[in-house]
Amino acid sequence: MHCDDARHLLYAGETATGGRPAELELHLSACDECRLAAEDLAGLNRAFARARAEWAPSPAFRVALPLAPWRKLAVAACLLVLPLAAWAYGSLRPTRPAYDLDTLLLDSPAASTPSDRQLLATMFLEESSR
Amino acid sequence: MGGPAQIRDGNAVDDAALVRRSKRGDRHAFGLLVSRYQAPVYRVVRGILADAAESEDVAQEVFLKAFANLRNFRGDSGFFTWLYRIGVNEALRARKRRPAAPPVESLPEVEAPRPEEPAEEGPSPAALQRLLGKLSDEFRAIVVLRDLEGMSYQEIAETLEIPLGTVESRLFRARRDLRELWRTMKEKSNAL
Repeated sequence: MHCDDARHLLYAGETATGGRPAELELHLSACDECRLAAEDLAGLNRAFARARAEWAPSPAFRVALPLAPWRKLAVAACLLVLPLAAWAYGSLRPTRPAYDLDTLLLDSPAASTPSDRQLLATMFLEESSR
Repeated sequence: MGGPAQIRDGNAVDDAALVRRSKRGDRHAFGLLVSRYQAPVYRVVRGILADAAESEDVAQEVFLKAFANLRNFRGDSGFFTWLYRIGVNEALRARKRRPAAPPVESLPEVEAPRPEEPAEEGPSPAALQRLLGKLSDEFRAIVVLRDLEGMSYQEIAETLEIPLGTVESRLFRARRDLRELWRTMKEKSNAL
């Protein structure tokens, strides 16, 4: 076997990563250059084996598939229906008057503004006291 | 070796059945295909891209693309070769979006291995990643499919859609270049 044939088997033979033909082994035992090439390739194969074990996706890696069409429709329907329902509830709810007695009695204009009679009484009392 | 052949042989439900169910809208079946192939697809992408985080993003894109185009998969080739084809194309596309890699002639730029890495054991995975990064796109893809994933020549030919003879000649040149890079790295290491 010539070096060219040996290199072809080493670099491109499908058995490059597995067993080698006996003829190639015989050549490698006699040719330093080709044996060196075989050793380098064996080292690279070991490196690939280590990389195979080491290069893995992180545990958090997940493939997130897009939503199914019926789910998209359901989401769209929810997005449309919820605001409509909220609007309908707000507009159909019976409006009640505010029954806050404190506000009515203390803060209402009627409660805070003195009547004409009260004003007259106040003026009369002031005059009589002089 | 953990390649596609072993994945297929180790599973009770074959890919074709899961693909048929997926095409009928069974998302669980596609989920099984994803869990079956997410590690090898990630490895192929990582071997081409040399970036862990970016590889996860691209692997995600690969499966989304496969899911979206599953109806176009006719089953002429194996599902995994079709999936790997998407993986290689997406990884190369992502790589093209980056600044251009230096040519192979710039061998001295390859970093020398650290002293704790014995040269006889071959380069460390990190050093291997740098070596792969120095190969051309087509060489890197073929070496990753063969030496990292353990695909047969026929499977590589189907994946890359090239003749068997081209697989052989391309692999010859790719391994020769990779070895040259590795030798340069070792010589640098010995000179230190």
